[in-house]
Amino acid sequence: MNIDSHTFADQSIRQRSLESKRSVWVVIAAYNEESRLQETLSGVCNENWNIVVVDDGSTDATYQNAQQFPIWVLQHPVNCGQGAALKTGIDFALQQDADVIVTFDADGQHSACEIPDLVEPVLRGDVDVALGSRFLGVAKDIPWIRQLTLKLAILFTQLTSGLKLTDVHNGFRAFSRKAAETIQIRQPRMAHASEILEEIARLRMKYVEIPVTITYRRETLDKGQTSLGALKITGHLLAGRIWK
Amino acid sequence: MNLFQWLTVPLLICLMAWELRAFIRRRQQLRLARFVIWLLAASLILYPQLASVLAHALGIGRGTDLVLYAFMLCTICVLFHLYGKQFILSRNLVELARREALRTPAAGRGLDRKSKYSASEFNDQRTGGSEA
Repeated sequence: MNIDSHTFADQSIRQRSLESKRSVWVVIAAYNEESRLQETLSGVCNENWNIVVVDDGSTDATYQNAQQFPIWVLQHPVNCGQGAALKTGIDFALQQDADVIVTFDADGQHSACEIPDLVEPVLRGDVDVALGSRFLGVAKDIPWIRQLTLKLAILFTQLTSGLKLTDVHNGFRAFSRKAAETIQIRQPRMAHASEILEEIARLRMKYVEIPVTITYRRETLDKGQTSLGALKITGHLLAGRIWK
Repeated sequence: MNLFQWLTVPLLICLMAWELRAFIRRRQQLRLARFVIWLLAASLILYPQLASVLAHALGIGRGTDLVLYAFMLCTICVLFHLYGKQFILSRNLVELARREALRTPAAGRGLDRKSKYSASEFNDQRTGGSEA
């Protein structure tokens, strides 16, 4: 895809979503992101989407900083986890008649200019879910241990759900309204990413992987999951199956 | 019967009666399981040689080892049960927090100018319409 066609596609999608009464909603779950949220929101707000930020019980000024932008802000009174925050944001977007819902990370790892590419197949009605893939796109400065963990997680997902994916645990996704209503996110913490994939497989939803760019930075790596977190996620998934 | 037996066995019999009564009234399987545990404990206290006989039958050796292993297994079961309780409690707390968040959305600066869903419209929807 050359730059001209990319730009044209962006404009056409933006135009179409604006014509369809801006029914694309971007859901951002944020926890203690006061320093990075401003930059993230500046990028997303420029794209003129409907945005809802869910402050997941932050102890810093995340909530106050989010309110400086023309967006909706929800706040969990206590920290519940990314899965719960995304579910809250998705429920809110559905209440607002969203047709397409995009999940986007608050820490600036994702690129807002790639939202149109992700949204396009869902808006066209070709698929129910569009999943961002850093391994089809670009994973800038990804540590080797993270890459190895993700590759193992891809293998695990293929074994457990049967989905043949190039990336898992990528928070950049787009859901159709029907998919957002049907997929049940029960895992409040990081295991929600695996759960979403399991739901896609269980419900036999149509999906597509879209190349996206993920930029790793020192501070996001420090805050983010450790590779041992994969064990924790597996434990949470197991517990979720036992105590339904 | 020695002093220890005099002190513990009546207590265990009371507990057994309590559990049995609760089981007959509410038909809770857990109560019956607890009744069996108290019964086993009382039997082992009254007849200590029973533990050794059982241990020999299971190939463990000493009766005290059998009691220790059984205690460890029980502890693991209790921990598993408590983790499940905590897991469900945590899930309920999350649901409560989510509902509270959905009940009180806040409009950021300048949202009224941008969004087709203004903050005032949203509040009207929630409260069932604004006053004339």
